Amino acid sequence: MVQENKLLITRPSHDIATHYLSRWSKEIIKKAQEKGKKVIDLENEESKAENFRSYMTKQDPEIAIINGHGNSNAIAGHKDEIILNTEDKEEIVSGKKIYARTCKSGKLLGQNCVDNKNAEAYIGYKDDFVLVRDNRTGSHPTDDKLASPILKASNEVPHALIEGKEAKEAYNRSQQKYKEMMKKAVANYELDNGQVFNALAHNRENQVLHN
Amino acid sequence: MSREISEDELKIAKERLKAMPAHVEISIGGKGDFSKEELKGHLEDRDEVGQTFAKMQMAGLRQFKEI
Repeated sequence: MVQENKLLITRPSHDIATHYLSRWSKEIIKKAQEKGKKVIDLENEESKAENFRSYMTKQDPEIAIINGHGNSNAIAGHKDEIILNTEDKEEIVSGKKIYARTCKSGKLLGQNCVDNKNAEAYIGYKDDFVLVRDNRTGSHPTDDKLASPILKASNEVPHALIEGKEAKEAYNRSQQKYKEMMKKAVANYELDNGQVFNALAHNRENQVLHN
Repeated sequence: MSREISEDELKIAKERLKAMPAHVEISIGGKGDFSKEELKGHLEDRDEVGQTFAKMQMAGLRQFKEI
């Protein structure tokens, strides 16, 4: 039986993209703690396969937020070590609501987790997850005004799950947030030539729910 | 495997890239982070990075009318 008061999050930070996801995930952790959840925060090298699988099985969190790289069949943690793939055992994800902010895992792994591994739900992306960055921002991703709308829209899934919403509502809320951010991005179209709008559109179009 | 971008989509992507400011970079999953100059090369090569950038442009065009 999954532990409803527990949330696991992976935060590798070995390249620019994962560094951005890691820093923007701090607000997810803060919200989960404010809601009284025990957060299992697998940061940096802690987001390796052995840790992930052990905590998912033994601590049995209801919600798992996975940041990192991926492909259609697998998702990765620290330094791109695969932490979950279609060949893995059911116990790792059984009964859980999973959000994978990775490339492409929504295409095959997501359905596999629900159909073959008894996951309650899997929200992910069926193509590359893209970010737009301002290369003048330096080492503070949360100051990056180009990346901000994209991370805010994608953070809406874990925010909704933490509030106790079902996966379908979390997915719908994120889709709406993407749209809201796209409307704002139109106002700033000339600053980035619409690339933030395009990235939001691309990620929104490729976000999928399996349940 | 997703379909390759068409010639028209490539042209649109190239034009969109020309107008992209120099401080803007695109991060494409595990493939890396790309400046305007680097994306130009990937579009010419029509490789996965170029295709993803082109797909982004087309997604923006498709959804513009919804906003």
